[in-house]
Amino acid sequence: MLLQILKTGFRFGPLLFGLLFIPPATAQILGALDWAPPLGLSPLAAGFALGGLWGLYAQIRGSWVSWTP
Amino acid sequence: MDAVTSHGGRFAGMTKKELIRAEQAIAHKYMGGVPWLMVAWGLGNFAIWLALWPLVMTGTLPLGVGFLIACANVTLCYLPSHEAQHDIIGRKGTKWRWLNELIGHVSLIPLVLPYRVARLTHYEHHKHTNDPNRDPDHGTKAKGPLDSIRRTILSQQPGSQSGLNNYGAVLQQMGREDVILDGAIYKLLFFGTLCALAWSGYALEAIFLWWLPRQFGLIYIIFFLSWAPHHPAEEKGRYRNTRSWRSKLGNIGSLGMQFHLIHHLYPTIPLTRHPAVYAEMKPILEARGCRLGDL
Repeated sequence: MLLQILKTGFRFGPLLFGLLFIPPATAQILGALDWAPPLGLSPLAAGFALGGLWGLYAQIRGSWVSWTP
Repeated sequence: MDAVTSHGGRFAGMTKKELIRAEQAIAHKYMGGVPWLMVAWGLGNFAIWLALWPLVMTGTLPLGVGFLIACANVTLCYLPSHEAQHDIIGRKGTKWRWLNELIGHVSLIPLVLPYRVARLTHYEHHKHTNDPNRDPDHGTKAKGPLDSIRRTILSQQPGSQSGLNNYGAVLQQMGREDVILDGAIYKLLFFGTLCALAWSGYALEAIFLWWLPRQFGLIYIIFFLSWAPHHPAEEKGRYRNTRSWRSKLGNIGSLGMQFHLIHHLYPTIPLTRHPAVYAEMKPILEARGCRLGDL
């Protein structure tokens, strides 16, 4: 039962990682580099944009770094 | 009468039965006892990795230095557990069994690989080395060093069915769903911790003390523990499925894997004794037609 719940959650792993880890990580990286995000976005909003799109890509393609897994 | 060999110095001309007796006599001399260096290595390495977190978070240690140490920690964390997987630190029923299991579990935490998963899949690897259908590590087969690195990176992708991502299927085939749960819980805790750290303002620490060192460690470990000693991973059989070779990084730099052949022949001999066993056993290995390379 627990395994099934976890497996279901992991099915959306890339999208969750993109939305839960990449946004604060992006904001802190931008802050450390003293870079401002484009289009007047806040660092966290930029992180959500990046993480959401990249996570969605990884979710669909099965890979963060290549076209096929 | 068994086939008689023509190579192998004083062992030339011996029958296969005589060779195996001579081989076992050498191997048994090196078995037994607690490999305390591996115990210290396993616990010490984990303690150092743990200590990095407060040191970096409080600004006592620069993140860049912490990153380099963490890469070393993750790279070094597999081998003590590997000794435990083979019951080398303490067999069942002996007084050091608890230590064996402690090292097995604890040392693998930075790699986010549950001990039971590692142990069961590793036994399958030993039983079916280089079998494309039954060796869980056969996915590490690659054309060359760069291809090995490329394949390891790809095997870590969410849709991949090779590398660590294949272990679940292997365990399912073995009927060990209980152990698959270990893997799922570890994964949940790992990503949960990374996210919690990130939202607490420690994303850079999460990336550079755990996530990235783990990627580096996996590439290094798979390269030296799986790809290099079995390359080209085509032959099966006790004396041909693993090779010895001379590493450009030396024996320490290659995590002791120049002598991995000895491990596949006698898995309960501690890692640190492999060079001595190899030196003594080499004529027999030559007589057996092992792949000894230039070592």
